Amino acid sequence: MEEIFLRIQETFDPYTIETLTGPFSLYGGFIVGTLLGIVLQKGRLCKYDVISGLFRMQDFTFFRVGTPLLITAMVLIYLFRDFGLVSLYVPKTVLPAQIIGGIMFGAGLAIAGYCPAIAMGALGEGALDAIPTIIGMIGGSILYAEFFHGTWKDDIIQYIDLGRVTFPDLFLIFNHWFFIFAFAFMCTMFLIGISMYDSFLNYSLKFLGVFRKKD
Amino acid sequence: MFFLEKRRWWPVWAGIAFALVELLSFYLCERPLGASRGYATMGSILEYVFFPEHAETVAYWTIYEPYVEWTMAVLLGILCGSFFSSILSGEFKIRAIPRLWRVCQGPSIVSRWFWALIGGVLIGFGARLSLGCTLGALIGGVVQLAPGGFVFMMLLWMGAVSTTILFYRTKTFIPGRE
Repeated sequence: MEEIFLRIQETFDPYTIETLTGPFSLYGGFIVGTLLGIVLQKGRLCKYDVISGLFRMQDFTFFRVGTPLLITAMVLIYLFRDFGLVSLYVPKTVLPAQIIGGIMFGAGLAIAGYCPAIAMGALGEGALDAIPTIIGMIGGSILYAEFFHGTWKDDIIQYIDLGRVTFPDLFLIFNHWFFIFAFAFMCTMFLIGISMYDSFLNYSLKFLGVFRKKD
Repeated sequence: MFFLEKRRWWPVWAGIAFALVELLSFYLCERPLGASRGYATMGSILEYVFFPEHAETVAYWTIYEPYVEWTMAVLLGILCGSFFSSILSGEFKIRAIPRLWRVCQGPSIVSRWFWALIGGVLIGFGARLSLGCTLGALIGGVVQLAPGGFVFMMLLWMGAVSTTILFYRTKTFIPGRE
């Protein structure tokens, strides 16, 4: 029993609480996470009804939050990078792994109804069925590490590895603002369309009495 | 703080606030937001605490070392932020089954928790396979114009919609949609 407590103490590194900034600081992570939790709750994102309603095509709150998020974050981050205030941290692109992993992730998201960040937000909101989802996510990570990482199947699907690339690197266009403006234009059009459709769906189905409360 | 006591923000303002949080994460912590790395690290810590001899032989735990990490602090922060926000707006309510699941799949708690566990395993495995979750790979990838984020976004949409059609009775509508 004592050994277990000793090992729990070993997992905590006092170096991580020395500073506020930097990629290892726990205080910085807690501040960012608190703000993110408030935004997720106020945007009505930590609800099973909203996530499942998105995949049933009845509630498009996620698209209405997501498109301004992507446009604003993309413009701001590339603007700040051009001024030298932030540096990019591009995730890897591994095509077959992300195709298979994306389908598995989507299947789990449709069944459980919570994605990793939102499960914590839903638990904070009082939805107790986020607890088995969290346990399952830890279990899924352990399953991957124990039985799948490093086997020949993993080697096959990790083969086409493009590395840490971005679209301006791939298409050899050295001004990234072409991509950003094209993406922002498409996203704005999509946002206008999806907002109109969402309002239409909400009001027309409420008029027909479909979304009535059954509590 | 009147805007913290509202039940919901207009989705565009919520999206812009989310983007500012992402920018703060880039500026303050020099890395994009991420969540699923925290669950992998939790698994690593669990194995290290209970089976230390076995955990040393697993190659994957040399990438995710068993130390308390930044993403776990983010997850704790999301829990606290969502809790305070829902307390302030009076939305906090302990419930074991979501309303839509009760209308659609029946009121059994065991069935909902069992399927949530299965879905969680699929999410964890898929997130490790695709090197990130919706926060790290999708949002973090798309805002930096990485092709992986766009691929993940499209395949997630396809997988989720086809699973919803196969798994649920999709004729039911959301009760009490806002």
